[in-house]
Amino acid sequence: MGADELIDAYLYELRSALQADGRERDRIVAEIEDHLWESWERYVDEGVAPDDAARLAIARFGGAQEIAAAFPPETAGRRFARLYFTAATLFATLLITIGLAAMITLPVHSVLGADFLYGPEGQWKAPARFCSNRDFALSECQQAWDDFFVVRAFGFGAAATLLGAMIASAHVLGARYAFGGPSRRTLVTGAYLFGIAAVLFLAGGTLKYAFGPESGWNTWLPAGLASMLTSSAFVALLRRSDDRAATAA
Amino acid sequence: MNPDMLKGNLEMMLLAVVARAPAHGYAVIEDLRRQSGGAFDLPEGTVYPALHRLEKQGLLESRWSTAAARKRRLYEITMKGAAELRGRERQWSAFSRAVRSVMKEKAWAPTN
Repeated sequence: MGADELIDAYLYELRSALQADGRERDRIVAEIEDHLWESWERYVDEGVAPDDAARLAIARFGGAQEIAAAFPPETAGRRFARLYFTAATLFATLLITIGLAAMITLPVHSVLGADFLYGPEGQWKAPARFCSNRDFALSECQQAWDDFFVVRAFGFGAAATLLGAMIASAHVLGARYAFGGPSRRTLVTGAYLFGIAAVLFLAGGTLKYAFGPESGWNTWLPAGLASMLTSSAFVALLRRSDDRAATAA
Repeated sequence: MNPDMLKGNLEMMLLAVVARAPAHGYAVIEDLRRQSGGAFDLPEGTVYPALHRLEKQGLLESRWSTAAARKRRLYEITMKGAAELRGRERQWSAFSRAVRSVMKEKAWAPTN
């Protein structure tokens, strides 16, 4: 058996024995593969035959089963978190898709019906006011309705896309923290940027709601904030859970 | 050296090694061996689970580096890790002084 095969066989055994999730497992195996090859190079430089150098590197590293068992296993909370983040990211992706569809392929209401987007007809305050308080011809009133749909559909699309992007960012950050990815410093920087975006979103939504009662932002805003808070709480819980698990180990 | 003596203090020493400069697992093991004069010559694989535990506690952070010929994981101490290291060093110094003080008495040594 050559050095390649020896090291590959060891890594295969290690991968099979690890109790981590897929991404974490890939990371551990890649790290150990780098270690074994560096160790192998050192022995070869010292004059050891390549195959013996691989055996020596593996022997110095320790048994695959024992090493795998020493890594912290994936907890039930972490498994649940993975499902949560996956579902939330899919939801955000759906929201972005609908939002982009509303903006790009205007008007969505022609396909799905106006009620789908704006609720019952009685809630269409702006055009109702526009048409009833002024003496417009029927065609002008119809034009006002159409304009209103276009503006509202575009606003809906922009809001849905922005909100979807924010939810996706929060959950991707959370998921990447939970399952490996950027360094903690990157995560913290991302969280700050996300927080600033959320504040701007909140301020903009509040102003728009205060000065434009027919705006639909007020319905999207709580959902976005709730999602952000849920994601943050999840990350905080995971950190505590990790700390406890690491301390116990 | 008795491996159990090392086990309880391995994480503190890993933090101390990484605190000097960001390093990948192999370099951490080499530094540990060299700085201890070969006394800490532990099975190399035991260091990686410890590094992962420290990272999960937020004491270390890691990233992939492609500066070398191979992709490798570089570990770096965090602010929380540096504070933890200072605390553990203080505890270790106090413990070490107390042990030395007790052992210095040599009341257990044969008197003849």
